[in-house]
Amino acid sequence: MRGVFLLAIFSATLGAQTSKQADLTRLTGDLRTALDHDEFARAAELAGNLDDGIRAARNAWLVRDARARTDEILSYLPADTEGFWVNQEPLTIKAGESSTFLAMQPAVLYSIDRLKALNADPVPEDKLPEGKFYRALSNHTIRMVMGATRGIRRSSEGFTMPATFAEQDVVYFYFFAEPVDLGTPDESIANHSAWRGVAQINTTKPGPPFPPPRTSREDENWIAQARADVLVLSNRKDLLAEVLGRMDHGSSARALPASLPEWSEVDRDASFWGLRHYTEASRPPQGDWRYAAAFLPEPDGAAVGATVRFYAKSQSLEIRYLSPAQLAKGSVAESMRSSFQIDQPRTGVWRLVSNVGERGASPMHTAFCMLGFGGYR
Amino acid sequence: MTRALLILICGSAAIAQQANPKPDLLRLTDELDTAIQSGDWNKAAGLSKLLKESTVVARDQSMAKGGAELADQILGWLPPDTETLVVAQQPFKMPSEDQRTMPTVVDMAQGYVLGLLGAVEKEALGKALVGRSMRLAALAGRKFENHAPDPNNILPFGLIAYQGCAVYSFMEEVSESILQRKADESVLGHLVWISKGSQNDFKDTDTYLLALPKPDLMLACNDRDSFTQIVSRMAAPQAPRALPADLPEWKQLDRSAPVWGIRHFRPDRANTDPTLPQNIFGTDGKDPEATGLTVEFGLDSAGARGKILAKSNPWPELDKSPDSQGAKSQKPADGVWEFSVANTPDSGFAGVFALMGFLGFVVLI
Repeated sequence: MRGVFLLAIFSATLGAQTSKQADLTRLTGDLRTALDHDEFARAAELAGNLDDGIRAARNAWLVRDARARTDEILSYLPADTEGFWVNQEPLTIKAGESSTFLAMQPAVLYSIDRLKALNADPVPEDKLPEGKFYRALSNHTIRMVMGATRGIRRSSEGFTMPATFAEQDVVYFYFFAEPVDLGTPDESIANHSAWRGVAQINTTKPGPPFPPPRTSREDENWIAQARADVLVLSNRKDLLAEVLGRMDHGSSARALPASLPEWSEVDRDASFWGLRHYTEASRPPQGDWRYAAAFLPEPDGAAVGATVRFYAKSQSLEIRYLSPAQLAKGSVAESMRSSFQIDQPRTGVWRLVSNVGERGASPMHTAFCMLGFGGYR
Repeated sequence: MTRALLILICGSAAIAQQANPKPDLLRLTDELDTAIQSGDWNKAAGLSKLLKESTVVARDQSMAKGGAELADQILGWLPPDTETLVVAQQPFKMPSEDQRTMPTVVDMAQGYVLGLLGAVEKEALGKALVGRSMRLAALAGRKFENHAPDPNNILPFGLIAYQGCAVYSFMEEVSESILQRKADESVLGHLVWISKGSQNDFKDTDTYLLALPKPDLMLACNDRDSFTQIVSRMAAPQAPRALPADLPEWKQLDRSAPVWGIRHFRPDRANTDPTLPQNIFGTDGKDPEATGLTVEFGLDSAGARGKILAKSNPWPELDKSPDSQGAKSQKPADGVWEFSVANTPDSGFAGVFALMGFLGFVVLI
């Protein structure tokens, strides 16, 4: 029976590949015909469609192992991981690329902003810093990026949107399409080459007074070469060592266990997906004004978790918020309703739907905030 | 070294330089087909990118002559007091609002030329045309001035007022059914669809007239007189021509640019036209006495380049200005002052914004 099952899977996979290749082959046939007839306008259009199709096929091929790699990473992460996401839309690092362009692609921006900022020279406020590691990786393709965080504390001072990172633990995994070289390492962490990187990050608290006084601090991070084509970046040296140790020696535990109810609200085929499991420390305590109803993107006192799915092709974004509580009414709620269509498909699950192509990056900032992440700047 | 590898290294420009690029394009297609069959997606991605770029260059070269002829024809159709003409002659697809790639200088300049088409029929026509390939688009304007302010004396944000017409030449025929309603009237035998709208943030400041003079040609105007003159001149050429061939501006213009523009300033409109150089530069008594302007977008040498014909340098401090976004200025000939910016998203945007403003299409932000 198992053999038949495997054969069925293999045939389905082969069938899918053949169909994709057949579509592309048909396009090359049409292109050849257009060129033969000197129809260059038609040829240019067909060549554009062909290039789109081939890029999609290449991207799908680049992340063919995404499910297996994700399961591995979940087993390497500590059990108290609270937020985790996967960006499985390949991206190529382009040093010198416009900040405006990156701002239009928030999933990419959140995937690389910390890596980009490390060991950078100071830049004006409206520019993103670009450091030596990022420049060294220019023109390399990242197949997928995974981010994880823990130690999230509820905010007591309100928040800005896009949110900024609090001082919680973070770790990022960068899977490249080919081996990468960051040059001579600064040190060794768990027997892996490692580099120390710092960035000046903005720690200005939201006002009053307005405008609030600007403050900043130096933030220290480490990048380790876990494999020839995998870099791991963390702001905690001990966490990085722990993860590298598990990568080398295996682990019997895993982060965010499969039994969590959030998993049934995740679509692991989305180009970007993530989940967050709230902890006691990240929820408002009883008596807090945010306890009874959710002032999203902040959770209420009974919140269970949140999931995010984003489809790069259609730019559609869906956040699912798991809580038995109601959503708060008032100006904060109205602001959420202006960015999202909100409904409750079943008791205990709130669904927030938006389109980043139409609404801009703002809904995606909310999504990252609910996953426990903020902008690094 | 194989020929295919040589082509990959030399790129689309090498293919384009061939008298007949077809054999190399066919060879590339065969190589790509082989890569697809073998599932070598990295190689396929490299080949398809080169093939895409090369066919675009081949297409543009094959259509360049036709584009230049059509632009000359359009010049013959325009009202003789036309002040400005912008021609987007590199074929392109009608873009959607949901663009996920950073627009190039050429995309941004094309966006200005598409402005009228996007505004007619309560913006429904532009949406219905998304994805259609355009062979050439041209926008002509005259009588640039501020809109009437609101009761609080505030001007609207967006494009200033002008009388303008745009001609859109599509690769394929466009059916009248795309307008989804019957025409409102007929002018000189052409069905005309009339709608209210605006290219600024005040509601319905303009009345648009739209016609399909030929199955693959659309004419959109925000001024009835310009519209009538154009359809009349389409039927029977009349002298004099708009922006006559003996204007010195033409000598400064490189018409091979993907998007080019020309303007002959009308000093008699100094009291009403805020876009004239004497009103932009001359507020502190330094009128450069400019007579005309040419602009080119998308040339290899610069992302955006403008040349003003003037007695004195209109932008002497440009290179030193912190807001210049890396713009460069020089004096290529006596009485000609050049301004150029690189083809990068940030400086390109500023360059297109500034040069389109000098052409008359000032956007208040």
